[in-house]
Amino acid sequence: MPYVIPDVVDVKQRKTDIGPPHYKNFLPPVIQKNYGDWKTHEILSPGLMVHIANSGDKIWSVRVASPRLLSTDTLREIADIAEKYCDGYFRFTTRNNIEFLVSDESKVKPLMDELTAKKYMIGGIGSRVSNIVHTQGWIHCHSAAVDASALVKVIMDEFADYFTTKETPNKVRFAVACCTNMCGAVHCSDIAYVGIHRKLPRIDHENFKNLCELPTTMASCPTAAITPDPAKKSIKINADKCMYCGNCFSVCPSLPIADPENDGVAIVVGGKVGNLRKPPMFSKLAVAYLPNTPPRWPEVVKATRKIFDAYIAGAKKHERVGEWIERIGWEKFFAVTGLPFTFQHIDDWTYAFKTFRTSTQIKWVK
Amino acid sequence: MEKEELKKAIYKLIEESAGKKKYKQQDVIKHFRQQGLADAQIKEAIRELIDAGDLIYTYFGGSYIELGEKRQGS
Amino acid sequence: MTKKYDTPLLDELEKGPFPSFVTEMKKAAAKSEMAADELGLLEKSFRDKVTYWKHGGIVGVRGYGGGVIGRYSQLADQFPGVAHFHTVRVNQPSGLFYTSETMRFFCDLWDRYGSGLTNFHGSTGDIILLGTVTENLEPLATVLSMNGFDLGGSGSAMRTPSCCVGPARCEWSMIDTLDITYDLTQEFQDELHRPQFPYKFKIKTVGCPVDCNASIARADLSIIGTWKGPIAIDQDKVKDFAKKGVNIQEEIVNFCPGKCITWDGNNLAINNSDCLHCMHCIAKLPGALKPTPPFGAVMLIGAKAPFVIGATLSWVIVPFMEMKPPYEEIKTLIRNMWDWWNEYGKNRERIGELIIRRGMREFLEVCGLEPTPEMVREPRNDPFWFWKEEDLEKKPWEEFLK
Ligand code: HEM
Ligand code: HEM
Ligand code: HEM
Ligand code: HEM
Ligand code: SF4
Ligand code: SF4
Ligand code: SF4
Ligand code: SF4
Repeated sequence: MPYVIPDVVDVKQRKTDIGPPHYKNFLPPVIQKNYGDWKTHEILSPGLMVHIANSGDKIWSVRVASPRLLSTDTLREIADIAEKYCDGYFRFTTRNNIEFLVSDESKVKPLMDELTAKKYMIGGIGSRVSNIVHTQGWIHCHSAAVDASALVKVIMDEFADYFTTKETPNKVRFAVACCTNMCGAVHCSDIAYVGIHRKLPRIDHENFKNLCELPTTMASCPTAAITPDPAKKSIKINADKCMYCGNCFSVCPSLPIADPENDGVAIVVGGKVGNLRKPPMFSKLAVAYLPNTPPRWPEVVKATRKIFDAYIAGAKKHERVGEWIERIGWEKFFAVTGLPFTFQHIDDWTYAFKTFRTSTQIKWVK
Repeated sequence: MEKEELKKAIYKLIEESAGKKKYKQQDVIKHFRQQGLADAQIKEAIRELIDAGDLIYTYFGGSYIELGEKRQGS
Repeated sequence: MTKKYDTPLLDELEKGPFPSFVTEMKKAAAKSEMAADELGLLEKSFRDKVTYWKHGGIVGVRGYGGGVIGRYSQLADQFPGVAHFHTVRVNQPSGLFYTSETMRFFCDLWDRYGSGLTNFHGSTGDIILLGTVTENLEPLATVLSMNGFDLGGSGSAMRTPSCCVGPARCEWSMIDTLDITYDLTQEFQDELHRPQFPYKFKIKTVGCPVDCNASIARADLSIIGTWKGPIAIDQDKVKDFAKKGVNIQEEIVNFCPGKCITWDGNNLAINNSDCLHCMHCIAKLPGALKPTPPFGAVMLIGAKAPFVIGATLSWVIVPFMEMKPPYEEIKTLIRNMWDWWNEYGKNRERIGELIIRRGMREFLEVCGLEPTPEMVREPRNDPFWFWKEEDLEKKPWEEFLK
């Protein structure tokens, strides 16, 4: 398909409702030929796997990490590399990795050599750490209580050897959501970070009546914490009900909630989405709050180390973080990680009672 | 009701409620359904108003239909 | 020359082995004033520990209600390049496959109309083009359409459907995830571009229960491939794995949730009638075990984030559906549930919340589905349930006690 970008664009030529182009346009010939007819695959090294079709044809995939935020310069470089070794064919994974699709075995090694020389991080296939799904953060969102790309960077730097070489008992999936709207799949990840606020929105009574609509602002609150304050022609917030979600700020700029000293990061653990062995699981609270300490959030990295190392030491092969915790029990999890258990860890939300222990089965941990 | 007449009526509904009540597409459909019009017919009229730029979809904690002039820069 | 900012804090994030987003921003900043100011603004956020973006604004392209997300900086005076910094969502090709030529097209396009910064991809699956101004939106959408691309969904609409790599490169895919995604996207173009629902609706399709696209956690409608035939076993390959050091008893048999595998050191046997179709044994012994037809999909509904009623994962509504083009059965099902949701859903009420508010019974009746035990973990454990007049006339015991 030759692409065109005319110098002068006549917007009347815009076609609507055409949808995306057909995916066949982008599949390497060996995939077109063996589509839906694959026999097996083998992981040859942490960043290289080969898929073998029933016909005997093979395709090699070389996986490298990407920060997801990519400049056109880097995208062009990727396109050039793909052209040189892969007849121009490559893809992205759900977790933002890049996969070069090689049809000719003799080009695999030169490709990996060039990627290494250009400082690409090769790996992420199999039982190890893969790239981190994350949200926009301070780069692009009004809601963000923490930056997302920076957390991804510091965590991936810390655990880089588990992407490029070392194995973990099973896959370890990290995720970052920069506020409780959670635009990424944080709630079902092995280890995840959520940006949180801890104080009520501050009400700018002066400007409220000029900038905000009362009914819309009240309706925006999921817990009905907002009531009118007729005397001030403004609103009141019930401190017992507010759970710092920031929805009201989304509709009313006179209710800022961002707070450099009190915003920060929570860590949740033990979620998974796949159906293998145990059904999918939600992530649960491990650390209720760590402060925002840009640029490299050392407290978050250290706390993650404790969880990660305890998992590596304690889990059986094939156990995901959540399966490991379920087997040893939460009292043991807090004991072996050394993380404190606090009031915040006990649910007080709608279905809290479902999380209370209604039995005498308890493990004694010193 | 003729299509052009319906389009005028829809535009008027949105114009008169501007600043008071926000209509979603389905609210407009429900409104005119009471006058014995088919859903598909109403939907088509809305679509023509949107394509012409007289009305637009807006987002305010949910998508609504509002007057075209609200769009910035056009 | 574009404007240059000192970025001592962000510079710290260029250290270390993982590719740096700061380096990416600097590359773009060398060519684009918008990207340069974006970098300056981010350094300020890092210094002050707060975000400097404003919510909202009404921007878009003629005829559509989505695909563009308006974004404005709170500090437009200091950083004029990001006064407007809108996001454009472009519908990705199924399976996220590209060619170099296509990628260069996106680069040329975005160097001309935007900041040169992108996300491959957004969490929704779309190609995300970060940072443009209102005037560029119509020409950008025109050039995209001239080259066969279209915008993605946003707002109270069907969101851009997405899928796993499926039959393109995975031996376990039991349905054609790429084709289903492409077909449904084309079928529901109107619902994707013109927000006409109470709230968003996401469809994610994966080829097997491994669920590489997190469908069960992120989609209002999760379509997950599965199988009904026995698991075919290549005993020699199983023995090869054992020889290579896989402890079949520990790693396979003991982890099987159906407790239906036995291994005597020589022969692996599966009692298929107790298999839960979890994929563990198949995924851990690649090439040795494989699912056999009939193939189809489990349909699940309702995943949503924690707000207000608490979060849910998707739950089963159709235990097994054949998935053959032209996919009429699933399309009819989708239309039926949308009509009901449109009629009764409140603004910002996801379909799963509506089902919880009005009951599974009404939903199943609207969709023409019969209740089955596969839909629940267990039957109810309270003694309070409803009867309809028509139920009172039925005498099922005359049938099941015969
Ligand atoms: C009740 C109050 C509001 C709530 C709860 C709310 C919530 C949301 C949510 C959930 C999204 C994400 C939609 C997506 O993923 O595409 C969003 C996006 C957006 N919001 Fe709001 N919002 C509110 C009010 C506003 C207001 C007052 C404005 C502008 C004046 C606004 C403008 C936008 C825009 C432009 C987007 C991106 C557009 C889109 O994707 O359709 N919102 N908002
Ligand atoms: C009141 C609540 C919410 C608000 C105000 C909100 C707002 C937004 C905004 C403004 C964006 C665009 C970010 C950007 O590109 O600048 C966004 C993206 C997104 N939102 Fe939300 N959102 C809300 C709730 C949710 C929820 C509950 C979900 C899902 C459970 C969700 C899923 C997403 C996804 C998947 C994206 C794309 C993010 C990415 O690719 O990085 N949002 N949201
Ligand atoms: C503190 C912890 C949590 C975080 C950070 C988190 C984060 C997220 C994020 C980022 C998404 C958006 C996924 C996407 O559309 O791409 C999401 C969606 C979702 N979350 Fe969570 N979550 C948390 C807790 C929970 C809990 C406790 C539950 C259930 C009990 C839950 C259930 C869900 C479900 C079902 C979705 C569905 C997606 C949708 O609405 O589109 N989450 N969550
Ligand atoms: C279908 C719904 C149910 C019915 C019709 C029912 C009925 C009864 C009846 C008639 C008794 C005997 C009371 C007595 O001896 O004075 C009883 C006892 C009891 N029920 Fe239920 N019940 C139901 C559900 C439940 C549920 C859901 C629970 C707990 C989760 C529960 C827990 C108990 C307990 C703990 C006892 C006392 C047992 C004992 O003393 O041995 N019941 N129930
Ligand atoms: S998680 Fe919150 S802060 Fe982050 S992109 Fe989504 S809405 Fe914005
Ligand atoms: S922050 Fe959330 S809970 Fe608190 S008042 Fe605002 S909308 Fe309500
Ligand atoms: S979900 Fe299943 S079919 Fe799809 S890529 Fe993953 S393992 Fe393969
Ligand atoms: S698929 Fe799962 S349940 Fe079925 S035999 Fe294999 S391990 Fe057991």
